[in-house]
Amino acid sequence: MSSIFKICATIDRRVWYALIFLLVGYGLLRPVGFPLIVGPEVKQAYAVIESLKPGDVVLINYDISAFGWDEIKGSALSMVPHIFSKEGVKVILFTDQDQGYIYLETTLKQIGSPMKGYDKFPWYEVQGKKYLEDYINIGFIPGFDKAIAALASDFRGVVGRTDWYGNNIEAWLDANGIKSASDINMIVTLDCAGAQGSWVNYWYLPYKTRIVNAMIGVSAPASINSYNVGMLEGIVVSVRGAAEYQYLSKYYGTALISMDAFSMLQFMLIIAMIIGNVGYYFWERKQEKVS
Amino acid sequence: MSAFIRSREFLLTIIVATSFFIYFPYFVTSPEPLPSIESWLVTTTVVIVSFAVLVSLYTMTRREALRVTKRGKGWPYGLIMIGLTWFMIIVGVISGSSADAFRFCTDAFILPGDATIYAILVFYLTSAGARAFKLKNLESLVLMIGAVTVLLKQAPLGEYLFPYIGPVGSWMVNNVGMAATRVFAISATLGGIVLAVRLLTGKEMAMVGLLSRRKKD
Repeated sequence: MSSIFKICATIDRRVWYALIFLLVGYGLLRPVGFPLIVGPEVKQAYAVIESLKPGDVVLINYDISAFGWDEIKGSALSMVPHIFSKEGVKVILFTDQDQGYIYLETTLKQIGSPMKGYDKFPWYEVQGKKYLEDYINIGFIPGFDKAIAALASDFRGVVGRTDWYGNNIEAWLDANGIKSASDINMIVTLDCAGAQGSWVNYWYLPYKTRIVNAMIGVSAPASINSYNVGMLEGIVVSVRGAAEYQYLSKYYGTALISMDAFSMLQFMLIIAMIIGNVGYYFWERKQEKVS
Repeated sequence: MSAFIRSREFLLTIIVATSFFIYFPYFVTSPEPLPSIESWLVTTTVVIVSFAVLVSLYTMTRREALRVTKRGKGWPYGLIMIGLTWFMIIVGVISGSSADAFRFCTDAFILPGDATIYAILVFYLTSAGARAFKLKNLESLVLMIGAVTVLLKQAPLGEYLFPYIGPVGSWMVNNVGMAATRVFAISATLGGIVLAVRLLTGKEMAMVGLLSRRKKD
């Protein structure tokens, strides 16, 4: 019997690695379809975006780098098309990360298609919205929080006359009445580096701009903090939140599919804790006492 | 002139003046030209940050080149770092950031590497679950109860099989977890205020590089 407890206490970490690999692989390749309960935070985020009216201007921030893309892409691929599907809503795409424009274009490529007569960026049509008619991409502005503060302070001055691709956007901004930060109705920030704090400081506090935030797990505590005090109107936390949003918005994708693997992995973590403790109590602790 | 620009008094004057023009209009409704000066200063930081990228490129190249020439610890990695950095810069400058060659280098090397390093965490996490979460005392028991509750709440299957765990997990995240997060946030903010006051009173000149220069002198 003690040999079983010894095994529990001394399982090689490579065994755990192999089990994770097998469970995640199986869960992704053969999803079972475990039930999913949608939380109130995601329902709220969905309702806020659903409440957008024609003429509203939404700024979508891609605070996304390679390390977090796999975790945040479920939110990006469901929230962005949801915003684009709202009739008459104008969209400004922006990124505060140097790699962000790659994911911005990846998103547009997956949810849209090239406009008639064009074959490359920025000329993409998404949910009936055309580039330079309904949306623009101002691209990457360096400085992270400094860039967000500068946009709040002098929006037109920081954006300049051209978009990320060199097209003149002055007429588009004038036509949509965008002179300063106060003309932006909503910020949707997809965070890998916790940009929501800066949006709250420089946009919510002075202008009361509505902010919806999707983020990766490590940024969640700060976002939940801001959400609980009402500075964020809705939050979508990590892959679980993304799966719930995909379910609500009906833009189904990888986040929803990965929920089975996610469940299996969480249960395996709990089982690992139990096995580790059985080994600790019935073998490792006895060894400690003997020595 | 150089000595004047490097002097403590000159740097302190700039810090105090800049802080005044940024803080005052932020907290108090101010007449022109204060808001315009604030706006100009904030916008200027974006330009400075852009130039800072060049400075970091110079310092990184210099540091790694020294390591390589002196055959310091891990010098082959330094060589790879310099090579790949300058390769990306040359390809990017010549072909543009949207060109196929640049995108290939990004998609083939940078993104998979970056994503892999982050994804490896899950393997360590599970192994740590078996090794580190041991019930040695009351504190570790509380930690484990919290961890298991939140894990079950996060897993869709856990919430489905144990319906009571959802509200309990949410309560822990929104109350217990939030209390700790707010303590951290408030402490960090107070630390920031103290740092700002020390900077404004000239007690933290290391931030502008003055202290290290003096030691060197």
